[in-house]
Amino acid sequence: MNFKLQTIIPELKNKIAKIVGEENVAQSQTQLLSYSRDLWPKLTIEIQAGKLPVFPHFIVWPKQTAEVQELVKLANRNLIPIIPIGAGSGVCGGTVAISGGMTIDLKKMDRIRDIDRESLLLTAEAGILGEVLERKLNTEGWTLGHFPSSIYCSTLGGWLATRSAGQASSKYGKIEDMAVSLEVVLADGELVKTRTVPRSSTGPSLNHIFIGSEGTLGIITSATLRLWDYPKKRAFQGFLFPTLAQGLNAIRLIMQAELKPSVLRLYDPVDTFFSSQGTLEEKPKRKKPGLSSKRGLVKNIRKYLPYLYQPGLFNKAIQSFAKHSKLILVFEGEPEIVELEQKQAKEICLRVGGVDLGEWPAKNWFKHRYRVSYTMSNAFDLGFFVDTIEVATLWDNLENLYYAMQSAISKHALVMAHFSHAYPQGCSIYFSIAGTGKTLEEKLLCYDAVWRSGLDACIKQKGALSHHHGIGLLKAKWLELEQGGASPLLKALKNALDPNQIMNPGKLGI
Amino acid sequence: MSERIQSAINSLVEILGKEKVRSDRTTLISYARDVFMPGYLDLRRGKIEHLPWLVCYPENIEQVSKIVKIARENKIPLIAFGGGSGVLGGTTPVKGGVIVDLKRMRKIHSINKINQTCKVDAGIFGEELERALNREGFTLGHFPSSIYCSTLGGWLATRSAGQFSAKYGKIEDVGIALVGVLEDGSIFHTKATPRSATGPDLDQVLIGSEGTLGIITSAILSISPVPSIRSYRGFSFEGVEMGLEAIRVLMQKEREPALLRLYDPMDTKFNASKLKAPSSGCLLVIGYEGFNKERTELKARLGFEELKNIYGKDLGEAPGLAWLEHRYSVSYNQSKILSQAGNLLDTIEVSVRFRDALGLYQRIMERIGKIGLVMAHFSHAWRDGVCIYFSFLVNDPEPEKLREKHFQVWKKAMSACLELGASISHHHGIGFYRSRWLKQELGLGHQILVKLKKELDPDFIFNPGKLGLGED
Repeated sequence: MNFKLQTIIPELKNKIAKIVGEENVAQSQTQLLSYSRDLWPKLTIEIQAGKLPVFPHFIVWPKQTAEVQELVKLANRNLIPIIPIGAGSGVCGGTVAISGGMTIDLKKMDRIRDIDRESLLLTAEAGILGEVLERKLNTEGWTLGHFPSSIYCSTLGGWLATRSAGQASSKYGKIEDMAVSLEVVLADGELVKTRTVPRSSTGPSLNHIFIGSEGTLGIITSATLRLWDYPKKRAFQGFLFPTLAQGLNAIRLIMQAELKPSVLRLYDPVDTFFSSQGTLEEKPKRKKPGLSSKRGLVKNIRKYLPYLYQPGLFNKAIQSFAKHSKLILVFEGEPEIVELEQKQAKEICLRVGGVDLGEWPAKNWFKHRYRVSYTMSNAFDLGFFVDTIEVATLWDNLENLYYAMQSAISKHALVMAHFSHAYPQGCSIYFSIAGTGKTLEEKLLCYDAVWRSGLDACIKQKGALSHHHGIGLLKAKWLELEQGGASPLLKALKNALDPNQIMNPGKLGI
Repeated sequence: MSERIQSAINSLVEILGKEKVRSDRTTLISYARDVFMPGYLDLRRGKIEHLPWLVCYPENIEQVSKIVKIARENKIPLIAFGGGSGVLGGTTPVKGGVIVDLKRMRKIHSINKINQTCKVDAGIFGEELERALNREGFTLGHFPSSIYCSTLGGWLATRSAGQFSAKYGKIEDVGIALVGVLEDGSIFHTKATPRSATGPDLDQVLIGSEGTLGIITSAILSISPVPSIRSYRGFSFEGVEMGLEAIRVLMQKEREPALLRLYDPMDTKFNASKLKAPSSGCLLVIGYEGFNKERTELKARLGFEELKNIYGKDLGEAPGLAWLEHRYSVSYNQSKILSQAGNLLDTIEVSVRFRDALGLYQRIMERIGKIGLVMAHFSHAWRDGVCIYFSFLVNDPEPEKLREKHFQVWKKAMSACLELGASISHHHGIGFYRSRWLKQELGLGHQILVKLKKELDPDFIFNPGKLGLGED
């Protein structure tokens, strides 16, 4: 395919330009380089090691659905891979052009097409940035309720393609709960529009075929989403638990008491140590920024850097004295309901042994809630890598999964975790990891060992491979194990929808 | 009977034992139809269009797997069957074949109080499961009016929704993981997790597939603690428009109840005495319930206050409690009307966003009101829309003409939905009868299903002719 591609490139460029205009197709090395990777940390390490990532052949910026259709038809005729991309903030290599091809950047498709005030529905194009969409809604008195920490650098289309979940998912739901209908360009260039109805019983859910498909089954060009009134009130709380087990018990009881906090985040002892040094004070005496998880890690790691070369001992040392677990809660919405839920959540936390830290920890987290995504580069500059592994399971398996993965990863890198998306039936675990190696090669080996040991342990302990980051290239080889014999369904979808295998090849292992 | 079929029967008997494979005429006739209403017309005339070839009763997933392999080898249709209470011919053996009755697979494997989940076989009746959960202090929260005669597998296959769906969710929200058999006889167990981002949600592809993509044999479901408090009321509104507005405000302003049913003027009149409500205006039955007493009380108070603000007249508890008492009786009252020659009764449930709800209601009422007696209620409300549930009665002494009238009602209702961008089915599913409109509803999306079917089941073993997925 690549050989053929080389020979037809000039001709293709003209054809693409005819569809989107000369100014909306690029082939310069700089452009191709900037689209060669997403925020998968492994690719950053590789770049540091001087290894160039694979390039797409073209970057194309369509402005409307019809252009996307034409581009896809062109690619399908010529058997050229297509990689849809939003803001490129994925962390699993989901938009890497492993076989070259045409990277279709949807960010010029960022219009709001329709607002239905009566049904509280908004139709927007896939390329709109999260923060732009949210601010627009806020000016009308609404919120989407979807707040991934990447909100400044991720798009609606990316959220849908990867099955995103935001920080306030316990109240507002995940992206699949928000999306009522989709507009999708299929691999043959045809356009599918699902119905904008609250619910239907008309066969399998077509929306769910595309949500989470990571660009492998079609290109989502627009979606209709459910809106919420902007919250009238917000309440913040923080608690400290003597042990992680007590904290986990508290969040389970909260979720099973019909309470719907918008934010619920429990930090394991190591994460609690790094983010707040385990303080019991309501407010630190010295003016010290409250640090959240990975951010705390990066900030504090400087002094611990040498220890990263002996991760096993380092983990053990911290685990031996870090015992407390911090919980932050935010409730928002109708004032009377917020007050009641806050009161009841507090009763639960105190009953299972939590200490009230007041508003400050949660307020402070809220203030800095998107900052974490922007501290990663510091880590790489300092000579180590950070990454995150987010998995999920049912409550009675949660501690088993946590300890199995923690112990597997501990041998290779510093590991800490928080529990940030809880449900009546179970919870996610979000591991933050810092590792290094004496050479770049060793660093890469360490990186691979972290993921291999972590995900092997996850599968063995019956956890779900990913809670909300998706699969991409990174987790593809574990996916069949995850699917428990249902993988023929995904393969059948792929063969049915993309017989020429042009849509984002290699992702989801298909 | 061809050699191929005889050989398949012999293999099935070998696997299941003689008594688990039946082909006597009485058995075949009882499995020839579900509760698809025009089927009664045929039955009255002794006319049965589609008989299965035989009925088998597997007892475990390994047997189901073997049955599928035999069917595949011999290209014999397989129709998974639960309680047979579907209303659209979803289990009718339109191409003949073997009925796989799953009701002997009805074990509750576990009720996990920590996870608030249970693992249950697909053949269990709804009521049996609900009572077993109640004994442990839990509820599934899934209450279709067919609960006494429908199974878990049927609920999943048809995308069922129960009366309290606003609180407990629809079956796709309750189903956490599925176990079943694919066309090659392979067994799958999807992952039991509260949520994941691991590609398309394959459960959501199987839920609603009406037996056309595989056979679901068991599921892991979420359960909730039995409510500690119930607060039910009746309210009366001047007309449908105000009633709909009230529903919209409740759903959008965080005052969502567990139960919500708005009856149109005719449906109100029809139900007034039973539900202890005035026979004029529009009756709204509303119920809050929950395990968290204080929160439920607060939501109920806020909800009831809001209704009064929107000019609802508070009718007190009586209509709510009366509804609760009679909530399943509707399914069992129909036979009285149906047993009279010349009558045909049926229901049509559609789904629509709030913006178009009143318009769709009026359009359908106007079009089908000319053909028969029609009434409607609005149930299953969401933040963005509602279900409209029409009940109608058509009458004609001539069976063929009666059938035609019935079809005309359906046709007019379905085309109104398609025109306004509503959905032709909210929770009854497609079966064979709605297939013709499904293609219009899904548009190109139907081609996706056709292609998927060909990939997963190239010989059309699984329930051919449903969801518009036939060989023709």
